[in-house]
Amino acid sequence: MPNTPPSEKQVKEDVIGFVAAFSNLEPGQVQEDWVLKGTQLALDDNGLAFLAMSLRGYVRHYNPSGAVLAEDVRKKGLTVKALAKLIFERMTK
Amino acid sequence: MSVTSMRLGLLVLTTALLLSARPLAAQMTDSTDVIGNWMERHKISLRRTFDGSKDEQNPATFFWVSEPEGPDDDYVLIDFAVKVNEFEKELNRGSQLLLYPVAEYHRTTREDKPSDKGSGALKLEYRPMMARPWRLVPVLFGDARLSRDFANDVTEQRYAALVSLFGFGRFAPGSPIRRPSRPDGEPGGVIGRWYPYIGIENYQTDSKTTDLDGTFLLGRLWIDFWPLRTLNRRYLQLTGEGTYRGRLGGELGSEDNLWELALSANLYLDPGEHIGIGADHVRGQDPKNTFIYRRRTSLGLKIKF
Repeated sequence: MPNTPPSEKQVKEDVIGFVAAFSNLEPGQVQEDWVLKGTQLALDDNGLAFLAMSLRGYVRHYNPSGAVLAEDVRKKGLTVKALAKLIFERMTK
Repeated sequence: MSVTSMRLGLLVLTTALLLSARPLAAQMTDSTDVIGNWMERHKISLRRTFDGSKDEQNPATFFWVSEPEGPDDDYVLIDFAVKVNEFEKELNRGSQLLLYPVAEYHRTTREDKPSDKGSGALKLEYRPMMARPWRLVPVLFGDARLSRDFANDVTEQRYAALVSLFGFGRFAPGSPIRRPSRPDGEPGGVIGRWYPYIGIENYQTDSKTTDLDGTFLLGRLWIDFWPLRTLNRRYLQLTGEGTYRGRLGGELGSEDNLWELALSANLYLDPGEHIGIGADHVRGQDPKNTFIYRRRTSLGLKIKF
């Protein structure tokens, strides 16, 4: 039986934690409007593919049929905030 | 006006036209990046190459090359590659397989070494496990390519399997290397990244006169360095790539130990890092041209979307 999904606020905090780990930052240093491929986070396609895998595992903990693809995370202009929203949607729909 | 200055003028004019298509201020925001957004929507990437090397991070190039001491005073050098939609599959739980096709075009009009090469390739990326803190995880890159050099009437096949590593931590491969945070807590900007590669390559070359093949053990180190940057803007990108190939079999290439060094400097003119002026230096045996030794320095316009 799947676990109950956390709140949207908690998902955002968790996603920021993932992004911070892959960007070599502290979670408190990550801003929601930063773009994953942008100059501040500077994640490359390989790092984003690994980030997608980690987020897929996170989503499946709550929604076994949920999917997160590399192309979802590699999207041009995708911000941390938009990623958190996407992950919450994948977890709850 | 000399031919040289006319070509330089053309290059400057092209750059100016590309930049003046919209006011510079409008290019500062992502929402007005019309070309970049269109290509993103259609899942198209434009680069110098998608040959499995980290040259993949470099922009497509349209170079005018001045070589006063060479057989030509000047010649044109074009390198661009297009990647389209990718297919993703989870082979076993916690893994990731990506497959995608790539088309490339490379041309040089140099008289003694003309090249006019088109190619198609199927590429693969396989990540067998998720990244975890303080653990290095492997990434497998596969490449099957068929290319045709129309200038030299040569058909070439290349098969490659390379392994790289990825990890967390300040200096781990693939991880962004940052300047230290400021006392007020603002994070330091990313100044670099590096990747190691090891693998096997097989080349098969068919021409009118000879059919050659060669299999090589490959070792490669790629380093990306951004010395001139703030947290919010990057200006200067320096990349270096050193490749060693040791012969395992076949007769393609002049020596058993083949080396290649590629250095690149790109000065980006826009915040989106789409357009820049770049200088390249490459020396060593060229795998794209039957491992013939070349040493070349070039300067030109660079475009990346």
